[in-house]
Amino acid sequence: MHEFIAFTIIGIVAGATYAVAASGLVVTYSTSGIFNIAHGAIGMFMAFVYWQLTVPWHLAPGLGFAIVVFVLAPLFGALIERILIRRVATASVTVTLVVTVGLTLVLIGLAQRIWAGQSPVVAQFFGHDGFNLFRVYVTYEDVITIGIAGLIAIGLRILLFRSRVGIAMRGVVDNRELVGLFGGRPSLLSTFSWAIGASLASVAGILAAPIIQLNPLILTLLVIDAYAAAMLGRLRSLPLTFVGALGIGLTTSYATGYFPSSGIWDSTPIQGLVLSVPSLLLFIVLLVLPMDRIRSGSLRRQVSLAPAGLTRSLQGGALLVVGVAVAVSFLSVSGVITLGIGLAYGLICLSLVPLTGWGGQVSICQMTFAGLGAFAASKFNGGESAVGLLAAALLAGGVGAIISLPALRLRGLYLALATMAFATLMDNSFFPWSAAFGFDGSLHIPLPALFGQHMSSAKSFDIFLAVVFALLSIGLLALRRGPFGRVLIAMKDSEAACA
Amino acid sequence: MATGPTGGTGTNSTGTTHTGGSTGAVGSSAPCGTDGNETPAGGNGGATDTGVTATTINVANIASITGVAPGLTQSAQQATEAWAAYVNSQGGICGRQIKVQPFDDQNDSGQNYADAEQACAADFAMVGNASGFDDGSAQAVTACGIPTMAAEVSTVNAGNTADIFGASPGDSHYFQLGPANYLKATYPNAIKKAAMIYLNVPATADNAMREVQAYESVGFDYVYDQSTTPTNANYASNVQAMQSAGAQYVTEYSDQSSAERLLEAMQQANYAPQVVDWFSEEYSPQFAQQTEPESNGDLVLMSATDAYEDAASNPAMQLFLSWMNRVAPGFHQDIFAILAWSAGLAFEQAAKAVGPDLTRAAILAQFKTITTWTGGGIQPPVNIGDKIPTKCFAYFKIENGAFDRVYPTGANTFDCNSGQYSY
Repeated sequence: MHEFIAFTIIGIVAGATYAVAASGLVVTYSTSGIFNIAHGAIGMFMAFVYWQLTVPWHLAPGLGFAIVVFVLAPLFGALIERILIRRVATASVTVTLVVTVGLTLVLIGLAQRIWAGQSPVVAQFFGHDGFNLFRVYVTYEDVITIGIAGLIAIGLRILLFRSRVGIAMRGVVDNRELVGLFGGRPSLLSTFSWAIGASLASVAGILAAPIIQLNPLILTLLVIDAYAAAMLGRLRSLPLTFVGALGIGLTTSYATGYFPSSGIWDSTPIQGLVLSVPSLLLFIVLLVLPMDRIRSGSLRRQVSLAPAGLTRSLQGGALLVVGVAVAVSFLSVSGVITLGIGLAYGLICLSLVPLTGWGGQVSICQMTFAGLGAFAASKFNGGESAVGLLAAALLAGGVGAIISLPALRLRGLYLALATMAFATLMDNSFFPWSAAFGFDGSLHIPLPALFGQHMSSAKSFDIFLAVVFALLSIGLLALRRGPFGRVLIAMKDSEAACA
Repeated sequence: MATGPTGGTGTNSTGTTHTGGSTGAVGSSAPCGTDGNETPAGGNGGATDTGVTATTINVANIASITGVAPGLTQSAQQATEAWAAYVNSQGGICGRQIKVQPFDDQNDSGQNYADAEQACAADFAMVGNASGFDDGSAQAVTACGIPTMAAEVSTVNAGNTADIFGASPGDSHYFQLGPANYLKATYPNAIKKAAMIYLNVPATADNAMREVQAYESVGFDYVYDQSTTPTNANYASNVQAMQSAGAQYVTEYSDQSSAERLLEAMQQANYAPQVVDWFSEEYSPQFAQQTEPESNGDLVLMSATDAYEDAASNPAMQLFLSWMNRVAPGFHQDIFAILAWSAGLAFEQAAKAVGPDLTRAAILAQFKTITTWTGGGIQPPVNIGDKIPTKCFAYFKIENGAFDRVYPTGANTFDCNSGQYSY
């Protein structure tokens, strides 16, 4: 019983941190209509700023906390809204997701640059002081975390549903012009929304920093674990979000404590599922709960670019191949390899053109499929033959088809998050599996050998990649011009009408 | 296939304690002048192979400097440059100055491969490489045959590549049993309730599995053996599970950041097992200082290199530090720097042994002859030529942000008595 209580307390404390993070996501979404992937990165960056103020610049922790949470973070959020978000406020979900992913990467890069070579450590407000609760040691920091999470939930509820400003903020999402006609100032309200969101992100970052330490990537990723909570609240309900966050914390804690790790359970795929509890919950929540109305972007119909004709496609493809052939002749060895890596990434990105560009289906797990393909290829004739390439396409395509079945009812943001959850599951369960990838987990695939001819150099491989890229592009454009392409475009414009 | 423990088959079969700072000749075999530095009469043969001219030997160095773990092995690159500066100050090798071409693999196998490919084309050899992604360069080395004397060989693919050698050779067939036997003798009760926690990435997961297998062979009982993710933000539930299992010996295969989070969670839970055992990647002032006071009393296993703390009585370490402080003042004092310096010295010895007609084939043949190597006394003996890791070890204890020697107690000494577990 003591053990159970201990895991419960640990779960509640972890859940409280998730609740703070998820609340910020919900506030930003319900008041701006944008799912802010960069929420965690903003919290991370502000935690670094807090450290800068309180450690190198010797401000008192309380003063540093107040300056970051009530001044710097809101200003930062407002600035982001003014210079970045406002420009894409009416764009599609795809665009806003890409913009906030980009912002995430910028903030991670900035933190790594600004605080490079330093060893920032954030101390707890009360050190490790605490008390025993049912023979479990609870620190005052834990109590503060739970208390702040509760206060934020109540405060936000009052702000959004009991104050004129909050109601107007939510109104901006539903109809920006109407709020303006009723005397509201939609632009100012949006700025205020992002200021609050950034402030909440900074609270989550500062509370988590003493436990996680100031690691740009891990602090940023913490919020991803809170996505399931935000989704349980369907990005609108703060009470449900709070409950969901506690549920994630408790489930994770119990899974770590009680899930068997010996015998048949002691395998990477199974243990990987335990490590992926938040992602599993996100996947389940997305599939099981009825979908809320997700903002689909602009009411203005997006005009699709006219696809290139066959002649132009062929010309473009030929130009690419010739261009690469010329480039590799004068590039350095490193440049040739970098170009090859770029072309390979280009092929992966090409897969997003029909899926996201034409069909409007957002996927964040294309690298997972690329990994599956490489794995399949490596298992056939060392991966260098045409059979290996075929196996790669079959495995990645097959898994994609299987995943798409439960995901059929998802679209837009929900689909994007489901694919993110799938990628995390694969990262924890399949790709670290030494039974599949061998000791140390790396498989060697030689340069392709087609029609009995081995490619002997990185230069010839680059040209091969360019040819494949050109052929696939020409084929995709032909597809776009045909009936299937028109169906994809129609599906993007309106799934119901398309059906 | 595990074949169980073997004894007395390692690099030091005498069963004695190795004392650093006094063994291992460096720069022996001197066909170019009296000490192998001067240009021989009639010249040194000019351009004898890729990257070699009458006046220079171009060597590449690949380290992980940017990317997911910024600065991870930057010290290895700095140490390689320090070694080159030192060699050049002595007149070079057979009249040729060492020129280091630095590469950053950005913690990425693909970039590691690209760097090695470029080195293949322009440089004579690679020296002092340190990267957890050296499986990338393994492909390139296999294809072009560039001699590589790495600081540390990390992946099995690199360890299995014929032309890759290292001051810390990667070999998945051996696991030293000395530390396990020491812990068994010193903490007989704690090892019966051992806990292993490791990151679920292949390099750490596979090594953790091997350690559990090897340590169980001498009597360890693991009551907790669990993986976690590199992004595990909160170890509280792992710590509670270890507490519930009654674990009294805790070790983790992870990066420093994860180890810091585990310690934080242990402190928060008031959990103080009898033994906390870190491996030498955690041997850095940064780790000891950042985790103070949580880490007070924790053990740190040292088997790859001598310790900075013993520099006062180790001339080889003093020489290394004097050049590091000239080339990279304030460098991150970790094992990668020492190993890269040692790798440079091994390369230098082999190159001098080859003499003026320096070719890749000739130096590779020389690498294979280095079967007892200490870098002049900066690391315990290792068999570079046969790629057999050291059997020697020492334990340090973290106290107030610093490392205190625990066993063996004499400065610069190692216990080399135990055997190795063979797989």
